[in-house]
Formats: sequence, structure tokens, C-alpha cells
Amino acid sequence: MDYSFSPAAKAFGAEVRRWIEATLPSDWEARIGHDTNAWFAFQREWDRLLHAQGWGAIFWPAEYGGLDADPEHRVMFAKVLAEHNAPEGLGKLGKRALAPVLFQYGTAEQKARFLPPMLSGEVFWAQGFSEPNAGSDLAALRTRGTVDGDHLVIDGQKVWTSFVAACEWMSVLVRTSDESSRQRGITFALLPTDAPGVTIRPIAQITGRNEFAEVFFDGVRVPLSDVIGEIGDGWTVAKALLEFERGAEQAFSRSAYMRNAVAQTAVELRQAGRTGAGERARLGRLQAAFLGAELNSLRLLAGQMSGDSPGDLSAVVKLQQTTDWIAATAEHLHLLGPLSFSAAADHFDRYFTSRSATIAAGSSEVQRDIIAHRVLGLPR
Amino acid sequence: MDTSTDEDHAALFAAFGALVADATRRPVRTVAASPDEVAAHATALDRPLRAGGWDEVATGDAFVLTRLVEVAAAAGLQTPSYPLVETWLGRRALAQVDGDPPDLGDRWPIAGFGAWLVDEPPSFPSVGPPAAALYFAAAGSGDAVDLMWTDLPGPGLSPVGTPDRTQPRHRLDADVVSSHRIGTLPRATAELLAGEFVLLEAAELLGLATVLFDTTARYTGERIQFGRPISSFQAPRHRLVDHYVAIETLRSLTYYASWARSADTANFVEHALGAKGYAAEHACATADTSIQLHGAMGYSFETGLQFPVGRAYARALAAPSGAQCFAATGELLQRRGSLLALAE
Repeated sequence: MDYSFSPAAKAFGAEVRRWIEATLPSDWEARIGHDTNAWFAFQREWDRLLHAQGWGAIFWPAEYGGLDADPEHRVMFAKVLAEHNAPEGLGKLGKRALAPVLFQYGTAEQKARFLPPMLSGEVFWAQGFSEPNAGSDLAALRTRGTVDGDHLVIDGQKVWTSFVAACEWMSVLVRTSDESSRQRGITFALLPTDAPGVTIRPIAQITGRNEFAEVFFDGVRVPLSDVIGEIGDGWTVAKALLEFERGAEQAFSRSAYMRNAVAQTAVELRQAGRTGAGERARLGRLQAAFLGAELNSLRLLAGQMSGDSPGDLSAVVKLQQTTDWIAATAEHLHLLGPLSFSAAADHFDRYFTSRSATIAAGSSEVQRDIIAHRVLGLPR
Repeated sequence: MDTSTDEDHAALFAAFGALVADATRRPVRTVAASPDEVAAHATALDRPLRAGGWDEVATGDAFVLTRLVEVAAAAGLQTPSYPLVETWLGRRALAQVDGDPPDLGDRWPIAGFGAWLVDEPPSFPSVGPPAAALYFAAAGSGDAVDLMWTDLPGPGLSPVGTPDRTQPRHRLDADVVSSHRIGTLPRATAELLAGEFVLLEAAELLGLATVLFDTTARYTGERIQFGRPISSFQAPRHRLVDHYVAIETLRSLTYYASWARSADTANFVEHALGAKGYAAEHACATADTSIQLHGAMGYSFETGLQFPVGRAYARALAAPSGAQCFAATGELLQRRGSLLALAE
């Protein structure tokens, strides 16, 4: 048993650390505050800076402009960025989830057209999956796609589409036929967000920002050449995409949110002279939960290094990390008590921002059902 | 990097689990376990441990010890009276102390080192055969620490209540104890031994949580009500999942702490304390749920949940308790101003 990183991975991590310390302002979040447009602009610029450094997508194959980075280097990269509270970049959805789908299912023409601007930060991608009646139950989606000659005509609505107001393109899942199985008859298509018939309406979140939106489609015409995979087989593509969203890198990003929450709490309590046994015990508990989150991430990484797909262990990791993270942000407030009403720092922002963790990318209830059925084999 | 744990020693762990299961297959039947019953139960495991040379592992690799303690605790609902953690740590300390080995006669060496980390008097399981309670003299601040022993049972050791029917417990009264000095240990060595004690407590709690969880998952899968197994209903189902996730996280913390014993020695004790803190909370929570989800059968003696539940609570509350562990690591965190980092 060995939890240490290889010398090569450590050297890479040191290089990334030096670059971040020279490039990223440590107070970038405070500067942006609740200004959604400023947040979008900073994330886009961060993607461009990473690309200029050669790190736009280190996990991509070299033939597409990546570094073919192995899981250990990928995790080290994610870990160092997370330790420095670096932004994830607006391109994360496209580069991490859509690109691997294009590698696997895209045509040569689609790869040549979409991948280079995705990597360079010229084009950013949103993901149009959820609908008002299709959240956890994604297969219940109703947005229609009708084949009309060499086009797919899309009518319907998506919701909770993250960052779409700042993205040039999006992927969508549409229903092109009604089959006995709801997962059949779904098609995966790509379209520009400024296409005629597309209307984007931002949704205000409890954080005060408008990072996601409703997207309405009224007769939007998409060339069939922008469909990924076969008409009616989009569920296969979507499942692959959702699988690519998991894994050790995402786990390290999540554990980093906890790190920041716990570290901030500890520092502020000490500064306020709050060092009693009760406070110390609660801090110790938070630290244990955070270390557990990091160690669970390492187990995922070790599995991936052995060639395993993230699989069902990723559901266990996601559930633990997100549950403990939102608990940590609430605990932060309870520990600070009246100190949380501060003009100098917005302690409530982290609480509100964290609430989405147990809802997005597969709610905790869904994760529990996956674990119950697939990991524990509990009867249905 | 390789976090897999079983391949090198799979046969060893399986053999030990089978040995413990065999030694404990005759359960403690009486509600108030008699001293004779407890002693017989303890001896039932002592004999094969000595015969199989298992005592030698006491001075070996921390991870192997951790897994063996975990496996023993998970071997079945009937917890062994034999104080595995205490005797192995006792042997480990005796192997490191300077000077001639003490003449303990036939006494079992029963260590109580964890409490020293939080400056509390230790308590010891007293299971019948004559024993020597080993402990460190009061914390102090010098570079060396005295290793002491006193008869168990004996004057200066008071019986205390415990939820664990299979391991009656005595607490040391440092003011009146008649003790003997075995020798000295460097303070750093004493801290590591105390950390190892806490680590093995976490390992035992992990094993107890595992056996309670497995038993409950099995029972709720078989118990039919309203025409379906009760674990098919969302409320118990999700509750089980939450415990499973916590147990896997505890596994990550405990195994890492055992690796840290040699790979990150400077932070080992803090990792061990964090593991026990987490273990105390979640093993007890799993214990609570196991009784609840067994319904009236869980509340009945014949099912046997009281054994791992009692052991879990006794282990969780013995100094350093879960709360004391977290207070200690919380203090370190505040002093440092940053979270404990994993070794890269």
C-alpha cells in the first residue's frame, strides 16, 4: 500500500504551483463578488491563460492538443489548482465531458471543427440536458427533434443550463421518436446558442448570481452533421458523457471546497480567540471529514491508475464529499455565530453556493439509490 | 500510488478472521456474563493465538496489525473477550523499553496507552486471567517517559461500568496505585505507541461497524413486510447507504493512518486521533441504526447486537474518546492555521 505520488507527478505539481502563484491573484473571488458577468469573464480568461501555458486540457490525447496526461498527473494538476482555490474555468464542461464524447463518437469533421476552438478558449460549451419535468429522471425529457431533410428541427425547453449565457455553443438531448423504452428515441445534438429560435433567460440563484438559465427552442434548425452518434441513440452518448464527469479529478476539486471552508473557519475562530474544547472538537471533526474526502479521491485515482473506470465508487465518493461539504459550510456559520455577520467577508456566500453540490450532477438521493442497488445489491 | 490493501496478505487476514470466528463460535449466553464465562471466552482465543505464533505480529508492521484487529472485530457478532488491542500493544511496548524485560510471570500484558495523549487515567479490560496493566507515567515534559505496570485486577484499579458485557473494565487511580517501573522510553517512542493504540482502537471500531452494517443489510433484505423486503423501502435503504459511505470513509482514514506510521511519522499521531474520532462517531451511529432496523429482534438478546454495540460504545468512549480525539486534532489545526496535509 502506497499513497505517495511518483517523482514525475510531484515535479509536475511543483511546476504548476509556481505558475499559479505567479499568475492567479489570491483575492480573485473577493474582487468579483456577486457580479455574474465579471465571473464569466474571469473564468474565460483563466481558460485562455491555461491554454497559453499548454495546460488547456492536459488529459486530452496529444493528437488533439492535449498532453496525454495519465491519471496521476491529471489528479496532481486538479489537486494543485484546488489547493490554490483556482477557478475551474468556463471551459470545464466542454473539455472534460463533451470532448471525450467527441473523441469516442464524433466524426472526423466534427472533431476538426469543434475541438480546436474548445481547447483554445475561443468557444465555450454549455450542456442542455435537464428540463422542468426531467431532472433526476432525465429520460422523461420532452424537447422534440424532428428530422426535416438534412436538418433536425428542435422545439422545447431546457432548464438549469449552467453558464449558457456566456457560451457560444451547447449540446442538447432531444426526443426524436417515442419508443417502448424511454431511453430509446433520444438524440444528442450540438447547436450554437445564437441560432435563430434560441432564447436564453437567466435564472437568479440563491447566491445572487445568474449562472444558469432556461433555454427555449422554437423551430431551431440544426444540421444533421451536428448530431453526435446515431439518431435515436443519444442516450448511449449521454451516458458516456455523464460517466466522464466523474472520476478522481472532480473528487479533488470537491474536496478542495471543503478544505477552503474548514481552513477559513479555523483561522477566523483563532483570530476571534474562540479556542474552547467545543470549538476544537468541531474543527477536528471537520478536518477528519475533509481528510476522508481527499483519501477517497486517492482511492478513486488509484483505481483509475489500475485501469478501472470511476464506476460506482465515484457515487460513494460524490455522496460523501458533497454531504460533508454542505455540512461544513453550515457548521462554519454555527461555529462563528454572531461573527458570521461580518462586513469584511461574506460568510453566507459559501453556504449558499454549496447547496447545489448535493443536487447537481446526480442528486444525493439518486446517488443513494445507485449505491443501494449497484454497490450494496439491496433488493428493489 | 497503490491504495489496494488485501493482495499481499489476503491469506493471512482470512486465516485470522477464521481463527477468531472459530474461537468465538460459542457465544456468551447469559445476559449478565459471569466472570467464569468471560474468562473462558478470553482463553478460547488466547490459546490459538499463542499456538499459532500470532503474538509475533504484535511487533510487526502497523498496517498488518490494523487489518488483523479490524478482521477480528468483523469476524462475527460475538465479540471476543480477549483484549487483542491491549495485549498486542503491551507486547509492542515491552519490546522497545530499555533495560531487562520485567518478570511478569504468567500475567497478560494489557496496555492502556491512548489516554496518556489526553492526560487522563487509563482504563483496562479485565477478563479473568491475571494481567499486568501497562501504562505511561503522567505526561510531564521531559524527553523520557516511564513505563509502569500494576496488577490487574489489583489495588488502585477500580471497576467501572461499561456497556461491553464481554470485557469488564477497571480504571487506574494514579494516587493510590501500587505500581512497578519497567523502564524508560523516549517521549517520541511513547507518543508513537500511544498513537498506535489509538489507531488499533479505530481499526476495531471499523471492524465493529462493518459487522453491524453487514448484519443489518442482510436482515433488512430478508425481513418481509408489506409484501417486500424492508430494505427496498427508501427510508431504511438510504439510511443504510449513508452508513456504508461513512464506513468506507473511515476505512480510508484508518488505512492511511497505518501507512502514515512509517511514511509520515511526524503526523502519524494526528492521523490516528482523527481516525478514532471519526470511527467513534460513525461506529456508534451504525450501532444505533442496526438496532433500529432490526426492530424488536434487535432489541432481543438472542440476536446478539448488544455485543458489538456495547464494544463500539466502550471503545468510542474510552480515553481518548471520540470527542477528545477531535478536540486534540482541532487544537493542532488551530495552532497550525492550516489543515493537515496528506503526504505527497
